[in-house]
This record gives sequence, C-alpha cells and structure tokens, in this order.
Amino acid sequence: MKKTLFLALLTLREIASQRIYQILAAILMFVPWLMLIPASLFMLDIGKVIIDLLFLCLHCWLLVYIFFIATPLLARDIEQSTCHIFLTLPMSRAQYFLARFAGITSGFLPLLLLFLISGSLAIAFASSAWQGYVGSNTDTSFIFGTLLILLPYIALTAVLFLITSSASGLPEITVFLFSVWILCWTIPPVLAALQNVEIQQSTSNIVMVIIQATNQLLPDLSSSEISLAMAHNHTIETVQVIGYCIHHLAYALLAMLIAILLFRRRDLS
Amino acid sequence: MSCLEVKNLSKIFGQDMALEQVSLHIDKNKAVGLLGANGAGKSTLIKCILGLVNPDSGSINTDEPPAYLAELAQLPASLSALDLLTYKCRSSNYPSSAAKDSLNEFGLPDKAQNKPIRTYSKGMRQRASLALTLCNHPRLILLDEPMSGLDALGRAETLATLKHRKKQGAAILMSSHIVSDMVQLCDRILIMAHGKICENITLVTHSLHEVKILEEKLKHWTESAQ
Repeated sequence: MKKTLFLALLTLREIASQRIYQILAAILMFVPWLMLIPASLFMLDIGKVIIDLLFLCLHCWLLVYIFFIATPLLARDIEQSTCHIFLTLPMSRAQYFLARFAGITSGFLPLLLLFLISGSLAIAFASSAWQGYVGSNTDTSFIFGTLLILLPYIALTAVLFLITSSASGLPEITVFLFSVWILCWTIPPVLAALQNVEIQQSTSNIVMVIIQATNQLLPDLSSSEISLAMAHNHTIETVQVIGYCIHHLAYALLAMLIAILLFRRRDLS
Repeated sequence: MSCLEVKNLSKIFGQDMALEQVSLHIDKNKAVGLLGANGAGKSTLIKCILGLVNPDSGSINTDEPPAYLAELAQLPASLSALDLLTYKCRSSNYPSSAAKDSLNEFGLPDKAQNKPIRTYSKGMRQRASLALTLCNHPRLILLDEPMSGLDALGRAETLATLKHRKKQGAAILMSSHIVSDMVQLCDRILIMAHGKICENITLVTHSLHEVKILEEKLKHWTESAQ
C-alpha cells in the first residue's frame, strides 16, 4: 500500500514537472475568459452558451491530458523499460498499474481546480456584466457538470491502461486509444440511425449485433444528456446522476482489473 | 551460502530458444560475470531472475529481492535524480538521507542532483542509475551493462564501489561486453551462446592473461553462434 502511494505521488510529481502540463495549466486560467467573447455574441441566455463553450473546452483539455501527458508517460514506461525501475523495487505489477492510474487520475485534479476557479470567475463576471442574460444557477450547473464530465475520462484513462497492458509502445497505444475515442463518438449516432425501420431492414442482423456489442464494450464519452441538462437548468433525477457515476466508475474498475490481469502475464523484455 | 540459485531455466520466444536449461548459483561475497554475443540470452536470463520475463520452466530462488540496473532503461526525464532516489529509499524503508549519500558516492555533482534528468549527460544518467540501484545496499545485485556510457574514471570508480559492496557481503551478477572490467570484479565467468551456458570459468589471478583467455573463448563461441 505504501509503495503504491509513493509511486502515485511520484507520478503526480512527474506529470506536474512536465512543460506541457504547466502550459495546459496556464492556458486553463484564461481560456474560460476567452469563451466570453463568442458567448457575448448571442442575444438570448448567454449563461447557457457560456456553459456549452466551457464544457467543450473541458472535453478538449481532458483529451489533451490523456493523449499528450498520460499516453506518452505510460508508453515510455513500456518502450524505454522505465517500468523496470519501479517493478524491481520490488513492486507487483498490480501495484505498479494501480499507482500509475492513481497518479495519472489525480493529475486531473489541479487542472480541474484551476478550470473551476477560472470558469466560475468568468461566469461571475458575465453575470454582473450582462445582468438578466445569465441565469442565477449558471455557476452551480457549471461546477456539477464539470465534475460529472470528468468521470467518462477516468474510464478512458482505464482504457489507456488496458491498451498499454499489451502494447509495445507509443504508436500502438496512440492508434488504439484514438480508435477507441473515435468509436465512442461515432457509434452512438449509428445506433440512433438504426432505430429507423428502413435502415433496420437494409442492415444485416450480424452487423447490427456487432455494432451493438462494440458499443457495449466502449465507455460512453458523450455525457450529452448530463451536460445538456446542466447547461439548460433542467432537473436531473438523483438516481440518474448516481447511475451515471456508478456506470463510469464500474467501467473504469473493470477495465483496470482486466488490464492488470493482462499485464501480469506479459513478458517485459 | 547461495544468494541466488537458478535451476534448469528455459524460455522460448515464438520459435527462438532464448534460454535452454540454464542453471547457476551465486554465493554471498561473490560476483559472477555473464559474457556472450548479442542475443546469447544474457539479458533474458537476468530478466527471468527479476520476474520481468516469465520462464517456461525451471526454478529461481533468491534470499531477497534483487536490485537491478537495466542496460537501456531510461530514467523519468522530468524528475531529478534526488527525487527518484528519495522515492526508492522511502519505498524500501530506508532513510531518505541515503539518497544523497548514494548520489555523492557515484560522483553525481551536487548541482545536478536536483535538476531534471533530461538535462544530464549520458554518463551522468548512468551514474544516477547506478546510485538508484545501489542506494538501499541490496544483498543481490543484477547489472546489465553497468559501464555503458561511463568514462574511464567513472568505470574505475564504479568497479571500486562494486568491489566494496561485494566485500560487504553482496552477491553480484553482471553482464558486460568489457572483458577487462569483468575480470577485475568477478570470481567466475559464464560464457553464453544460443541460450545456454557454454563455459563456466573460475578466475584465479584476475590478470591480463585471463582477459586474453576469455576474449579468445568469447570469440570462439561468438563465431560458432553465427
């Protein structure tokens, strides 16, 4: 347990000392303010537009973090044998993976805090500058929405570990993770289209089963219902929020379990 | 007393026999050298002992977990050597002060100890790796090309440190291409080819004569492997 905690802290330190992480943190401090410029062009409820743009920004930086910070870190561990240093402490492969996962996911938190502070201040400014155009609950919706949107990305981080458990290096990990990410966004519209009777008739059963099965295997990255409800001040049932959280956390847990099982059997030559 | 005992270890990668019925043992206060051409199975043997590669058959017994210096392992570039060593000392219940002592012992300049590893030269990285491997005074040390990237002075200092650790009771298994370094440190040399141990030579005089004998034997086995 102690070894896992120490490596998680070391991972966090390693991430925080990277230039790209520091640049991302600096960008997150002023990007929410930039979002006010396009939002101000709208004449209706500016608060909704601000939240939509902030959530878009959130999706972008979470992806940047996973693809440009977490992926190279894990890929280097495998490709350049850096993981040997930790595994020969000694430390079990499960401990190593859990520690890296804990370190990488906790790396989200300082950025998230910065984003929340900067975003809340930008919303507060917008509320005072455009009174009547920004709803009173905008800041609360922004904070809750941000926390909920983080969860699918924790699941995607677990998918990254799942890929790393068998991959040989950065190109392989990036290609597979990118494919997963693309599929996560493309399959739901295809499934929606498959509800149409005409399309159902012209699609073979095997293809439909394959698409549905693939969708079941992937994390749900869209978070669309939650973000939409948050942005538009719609009421969300507590059960719905709990279900959403459990779904993503259970997905991450399962993916990590499989990743550990695969990684334990692997030769690290 | 045996610190490491390997019996009938075999490993196959696809259709390549990387290790075939390899057996060896290393006692306390002893150093054993592994010599062989590239692809002879030296690194695979060390990785099997460490548990990084799962052997297909055979057994490995060690008194305590071995410390390891990998040939081409890259240290995390954004961390400093002191960060890494402090982490290792804390993880292995060793006083954190040992981190600085170890870096000083391996001659890493004070100024560099707190700087990110990406700013280090190749030699400094190797010194940091050696310090990381040996900072918690392990009883069993596995070294894969430990002299790689070191200048003449660095090699001499490292050899002196390893000899000292051996005297203190450590058992060492070292793989290297530099025969003269092996002869200075090791009590026995194992020559590997085709995943097998072909020669088991006990060194007596540790002289230039033994270096020449080993080089000839190595040349013979390398040519036969081709």
